[in-house]
Amino acid sequence: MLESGFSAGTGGSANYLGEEYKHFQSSEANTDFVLGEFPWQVRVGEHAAITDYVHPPRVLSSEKLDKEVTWSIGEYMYGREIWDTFKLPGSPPEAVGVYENQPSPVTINVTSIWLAFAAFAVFLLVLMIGFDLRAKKEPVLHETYQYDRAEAKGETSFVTDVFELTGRISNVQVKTHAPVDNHWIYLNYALINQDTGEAWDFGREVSYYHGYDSDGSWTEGRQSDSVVVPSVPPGHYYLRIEPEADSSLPRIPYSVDVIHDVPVFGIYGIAFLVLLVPPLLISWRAFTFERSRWSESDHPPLQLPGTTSSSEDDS
Amino acid sequence: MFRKLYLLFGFLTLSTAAFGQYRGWSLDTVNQLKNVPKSVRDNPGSYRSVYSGYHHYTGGK
Repeated sequence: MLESGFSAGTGGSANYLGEEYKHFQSSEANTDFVLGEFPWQVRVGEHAAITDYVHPPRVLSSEKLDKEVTWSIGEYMYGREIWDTFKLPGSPPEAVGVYENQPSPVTINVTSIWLAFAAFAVFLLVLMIGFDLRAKKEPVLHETYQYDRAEAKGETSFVTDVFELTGRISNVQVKTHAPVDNHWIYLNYALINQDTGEAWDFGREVSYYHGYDSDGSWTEGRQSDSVVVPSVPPGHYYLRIEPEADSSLPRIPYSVDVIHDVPVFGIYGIAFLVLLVPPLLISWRAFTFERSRWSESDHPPLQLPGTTSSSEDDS
Repeated sequence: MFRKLYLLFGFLTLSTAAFGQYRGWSLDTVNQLKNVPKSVRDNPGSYRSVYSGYHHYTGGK
């Protein structure tokens, strides 16, 4: 019997010693059969209204008989604790499901993890803005060329003028623009360090197609392409370019831009997703555990059409 | 405990992102080669890209 520090709240909650207990379940209990020892006089045929409020690992229960209400408080104990207390042989049976006042395995405060994630996201944004502001984005080459089918029967490759990359190791962006229309052009690039012979080899396609069919108008590809060559040391460089193109086109103009030290926003995107994984996993684990707990209550998280809660079944 | 681990994890993630940005990392795939002969500058045809002969797009939808 609870005597002090208790107040029955409104709207399905109760307060005991400053802790709020949420209403879990109300049910009717009938005594059909008695076996064992009881601290009160129990009789077959007794009828009690039971109400449980939970604040894991504690449960606050009310048993209402004709003119008497008994409040009791309980605390969840794991099977292992009971086995050890009574020195029982073997192991306790595996727990099935989630009991009403069973403590959640997610012992941390999920909200605090999300707050930490929000702080990291802000730091990431600051990093992104900071690196974007300090990136040189220095144009080091801008050339326009023309792929000529007539001349392409021989060697098509050529090299650009030498350009200098200064400062620390950084990336290099190579942008290609070709006004292709239902055609393509493919460029084999090699960014070559004139001094060391080190090279970065890559192939880029620029293709743009459009048309109209039974689904309506459609487009594929773009007339521009961009690639970022990673971690290029300072030095003197040139590009070797070897174009290939659709044989049905006699001539395709295209332009090549080389920009030194550009921000790569995809890195921030990946970092954001990586930071998001732990809070999502923790939240999902906490959510599924609580969903299992409350699915057994009078307040299931998801009330499917055509189903009723247990208290409604009992009444 | 988990919160401390997450703080450490987040710090490492941000540090990696910042280091990658500083060192000019990229998400694009580029093949790096050593010791390309200097003669390529005078004779571009003496070098062949590893992407040469790659299967190209030949049509739209």
